Amino acid sequence: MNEIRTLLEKYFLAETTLEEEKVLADHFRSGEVDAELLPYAAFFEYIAEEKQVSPGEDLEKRILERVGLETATVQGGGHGAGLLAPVRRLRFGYAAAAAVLLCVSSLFLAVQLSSRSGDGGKVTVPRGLVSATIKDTYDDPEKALAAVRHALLVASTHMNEGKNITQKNMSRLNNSWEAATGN
Amino acid sequence: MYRSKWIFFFPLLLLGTGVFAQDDAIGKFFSKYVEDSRFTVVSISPKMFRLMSKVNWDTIPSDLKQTVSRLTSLRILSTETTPGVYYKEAMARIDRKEYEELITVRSDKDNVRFMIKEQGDVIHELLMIAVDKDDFTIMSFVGNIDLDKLSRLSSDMGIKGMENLKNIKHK
Repeated sequence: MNEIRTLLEKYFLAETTLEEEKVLADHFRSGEVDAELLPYAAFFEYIAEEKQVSPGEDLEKRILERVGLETATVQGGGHGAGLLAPVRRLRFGYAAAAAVLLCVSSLFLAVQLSSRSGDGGKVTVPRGLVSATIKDTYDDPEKALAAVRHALLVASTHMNEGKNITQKNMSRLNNSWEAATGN
Repeated sequence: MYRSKWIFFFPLLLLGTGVFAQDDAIGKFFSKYVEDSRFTVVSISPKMFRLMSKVNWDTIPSDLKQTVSRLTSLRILSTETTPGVYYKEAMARIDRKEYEELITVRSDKDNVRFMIKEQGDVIHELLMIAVDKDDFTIMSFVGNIDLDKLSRLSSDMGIKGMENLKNIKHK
């Protein structure tokens, strides 16, 4: 009996193994139950009964029907066969996606163009997304080429300024060195 | 069904026209001031560079030809209004993780910085940011940039180059 009590305690602490639970169930079914433990007998009987109940093979189908989803055999076929066809195929899927894309991009462009007011306000644009576009300054490729040459020359000259300054100083250093070492 | 597919792709087509997109920090800086009347803007798109390659190149020295043929875009912003302020703003916007400082030449008269964006061994973008007491200019060259060739361009020109520098007018 003490064994049973110990097991019961364990059970209500959810610490029993399946085997131990079986022991308990068997014990209470056997009819040789202590008077003190009779309430538990009813409990275990209930548990045992519930275990017998199974949902039946068409449970999935019944659930789906309740929820209102169709199975794979209806509406132009979904992904994957079987009873669980998760999403109904939208007939206007492409058009809907296109409409959303158009709306989003035009909204976005509108925001960009309106924020380009140059009033010193913050331009907060997420990185990596297309922001405003800049028009070509020249229509004539020859003029454009002239501008590119000009710009390259400016950049090149500035770059060489640095080089020249360095060279000048290096030669001054060299002169000083030679003077100091008497070469 | 077929028509719906076209609607889907049309917004994407809009991006591929003669203008080109600015989506980096410097691009945002350009976009901010492109309509500002205080600024002079030069913008040459990849499309224009492609057109340029069909122009008559006979009178153009080969180093220059090669340099230009490897560029894909050029943007220049310049102003004479509060140059120091814009210089600071431009420098603040440049992401040091993307752009590395190449050369800085600072004298009492001016301050010129070159910054590059590298992808592997290739220099993908060269920024020149220059300021003196009257002027602020920022230039962005995008393409496959050969620094060696670039620096040779002005030394090839020699004296002429220096004179041109003195005569630089904003277009």
